[in-house]
Amino acid sequence: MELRDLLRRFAFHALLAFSLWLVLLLALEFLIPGFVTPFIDLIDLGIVAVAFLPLGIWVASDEQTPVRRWVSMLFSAMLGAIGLATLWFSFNGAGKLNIGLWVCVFILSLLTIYAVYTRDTSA
Amino acid sequence: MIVPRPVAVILCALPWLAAVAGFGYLFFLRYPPSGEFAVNSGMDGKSPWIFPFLPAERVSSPGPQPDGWSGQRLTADPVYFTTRVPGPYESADVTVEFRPLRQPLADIGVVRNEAGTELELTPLYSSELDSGAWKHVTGGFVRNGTLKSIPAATTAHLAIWDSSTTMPLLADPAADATSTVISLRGSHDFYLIPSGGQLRAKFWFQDANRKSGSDAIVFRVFRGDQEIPEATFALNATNEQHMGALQEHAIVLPHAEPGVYRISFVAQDDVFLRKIETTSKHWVIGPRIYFGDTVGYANAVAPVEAWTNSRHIVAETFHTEGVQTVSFGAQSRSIAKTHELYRMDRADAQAVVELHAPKGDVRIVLDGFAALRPDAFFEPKPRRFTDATLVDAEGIDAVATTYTPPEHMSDGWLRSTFHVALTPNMETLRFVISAPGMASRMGSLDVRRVSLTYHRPAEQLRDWMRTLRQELVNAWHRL
Repeated sequence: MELRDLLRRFAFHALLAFSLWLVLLLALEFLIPGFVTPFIDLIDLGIVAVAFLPLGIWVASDEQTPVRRWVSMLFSAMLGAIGLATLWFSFNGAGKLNIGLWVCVFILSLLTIYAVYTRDTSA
Repeated sequence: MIVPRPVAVILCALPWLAAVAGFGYLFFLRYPPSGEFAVNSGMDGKSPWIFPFLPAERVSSPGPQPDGWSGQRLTADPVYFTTRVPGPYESADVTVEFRPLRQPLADIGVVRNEAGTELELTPLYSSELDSGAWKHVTGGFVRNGTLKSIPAATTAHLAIWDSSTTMPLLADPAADATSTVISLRGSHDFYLIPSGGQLRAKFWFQDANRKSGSDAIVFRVFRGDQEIPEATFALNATNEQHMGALQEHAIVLPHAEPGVYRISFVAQDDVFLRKIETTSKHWVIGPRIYFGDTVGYANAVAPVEAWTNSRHIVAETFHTEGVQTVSFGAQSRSIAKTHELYRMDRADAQAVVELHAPKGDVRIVLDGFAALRPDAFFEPKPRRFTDATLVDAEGIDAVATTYTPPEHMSDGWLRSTFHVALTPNMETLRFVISAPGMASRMGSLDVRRVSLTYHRPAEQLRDWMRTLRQELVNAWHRL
């Protein structure tokens, strides 16, 4: 497998695992209030989960067009910027776990941008 | 660059493994295998588990305070804080770091029901018991150089603070019956010591019929807090338009065990007690005594002469005939208006003083008990240990309490821990701090840290399943 394909597949799995994990936590929080909210701020991370889920599927999709490519990159860059900004403003107040998750969001968005950018659009 | 397929598979599995590990981490945070979950707050509003004190008008803003410490200052009471319970736990240890300022006494407690009516208070701080003049013994504190333990047979020199004591087993030798003419209006509680192994008391009562309708009258008899049902007696008094006839009711317990008996006379203020005859040598009334008028019954007024251990009384009259000067020990006060409360306090060293109202017709609420003869006085219950207690003046040498002195830290800070039993379906806990009289004496209570350690048995697989089942039950009830 070529490295750029591997990165694309890895981005897909990472985005999907991350977003499904957050969706599962959201569901558990709904059933058991206080299950994760004391450790993780679920409201904004829930939004990220909802955004990452289609993005991951889109990244993995074999049908790639220049429009999709640029929209995906823009979307990822936006998420990365939100992650970085949240980190910057909440660094003193947020819990360690919350900060760690926003670092994940930022890294994942960079990875997605790279995976989408290096994607062969000739197909 | 070509990457081998096994490496690619392992790499792609990593995010899923991380998600599983992250879920496991959160699961163990929520369900710690040790069965202990500790949280703490600097009362700065940042903890997701312990929320700041409320209501806002009785506390300062959470966080840094003007005089250089961080937390919250409590300036009036009661105040409360809420905690989020992290799942089904059996108990919690609550630790509070606080600093009292001009506040001699404080209690802390947990609210047991949603309506906030069931409050379970625990002693938090007493400057008197923390002064070094008292020794911690089983069941409370005794003053240095006086007693060796909490007295069990007498209530003299004893006070209680959020605790219960056993009833003193008092008994007098046999005596002849003595009659006391009285004019008491409405409900009263009489405390008696049995004499010669018997309890005999006869009451003469009369329905004045100043209000229309019949009046119910009930006599109930208690030994300590235990009611003696066979001694209960109820009847309807007369339903006439004029002064009713004098009726009598005798209470006789031929085999009265030693102890303190309470005869509770329950009636409207329309009903007067005119005479009491008893073989008990010691009997007192309290905390409410309503000395009634004698209009329509006798020509002469019935002056009040009673002997009381009260430190504070509140007197009130409802008729212009009752306007008079009331003396309470060495002091006296004029009751100049009707329907107005007149408070009298004393701080002398006398255990029992005379209470005198020359015209009668006055309602008095005591913080102690009163006898109508000086030799009949006894203390049926220990005094309450409050923020206003003067241990020297009141002659208190022992305090029955569950109070544990707080640990002294630097700069006047104190640390106290107490235990709370929990039920598995609790999702929040509300704690209340009571510091009586704090606002009026311009005192405060600074709180810089609150810690909670929740406990349940260490988790085995079976315990986990039980905990999860309880979580599901709670979730079902929420849905």
